Amino acid sequence: MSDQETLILEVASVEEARSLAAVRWSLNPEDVIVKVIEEEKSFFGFLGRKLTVEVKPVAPLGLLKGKKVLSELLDYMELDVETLEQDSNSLNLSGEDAGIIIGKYGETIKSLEYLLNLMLRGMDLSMKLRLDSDGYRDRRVASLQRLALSAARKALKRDKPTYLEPMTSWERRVIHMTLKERNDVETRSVGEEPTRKVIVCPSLGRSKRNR
Amino acid sequence: MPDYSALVEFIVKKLVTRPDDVKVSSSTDDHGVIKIMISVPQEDIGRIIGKRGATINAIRLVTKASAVKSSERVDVDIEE
Repeated sequence: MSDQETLILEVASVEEARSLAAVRWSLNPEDVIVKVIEEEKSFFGFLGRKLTVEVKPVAPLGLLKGKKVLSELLDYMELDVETLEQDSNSLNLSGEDAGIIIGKYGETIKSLEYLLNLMLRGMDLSMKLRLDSDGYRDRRVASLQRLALSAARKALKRDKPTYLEPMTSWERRVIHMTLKERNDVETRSVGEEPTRKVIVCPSLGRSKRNR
Repeated sequence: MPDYSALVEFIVKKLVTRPDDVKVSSSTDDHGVIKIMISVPQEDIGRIIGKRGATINAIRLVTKASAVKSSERVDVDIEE
């Protein structure tokens, strides 16, 4: 965590520090941790006390801001899902409407992730967030691995390249990684985002070629 | 049912350089499709469309997802 994400404040109460930091970082007050470093008691009790406190976000700032923006967005969508930090750069969406959030072939969660990152970039946060929904990514990885193997079979059987559907960079990576160790097929990505796709080709010299 | 205009406005305002100049309107056509129109200054249009329409398509998908529960038909477009 960078230094910018720690504030040292002089305040009258922990609550005051919490709300000051929340405003400064535009977070919810419960998303900051306040640690008292020094407590100075005034001789005149009625003047109150002075606390020196250290304030930090409970998680990386970008993640918390992303969570806040996403929760607002989901409220506008009137969907019943809760947003929680999953790890340092991903948020998990869980709840009754998780299926709507994922969408057909995951296209909705992909769009949400894309928009969220664009919105955060507008807020000067360079951090890239990922969205997941109760194991959706793991299930997607498993299905991409099956897809990769079947594309390899098809390419070998027809002895010509098999084109896969356009995918996001992490999805394409799964395909490349799945077939990386194979000697009989090669993979590469072609085209431009957002329609960049993977081609699975029989390896050159693997078998008799037409030319 | 969700306020689609408010949803689209929330997203668009965070993507443009001049959020105060964003206008979003809503109308329903003869076939019952709710049409959300985005109006932004010329200089911000590219930011709403995105590379090969990636951004406007994402806005459309997210808006359509919010209409699944109320089974309404909704579409989003940009005022030229």
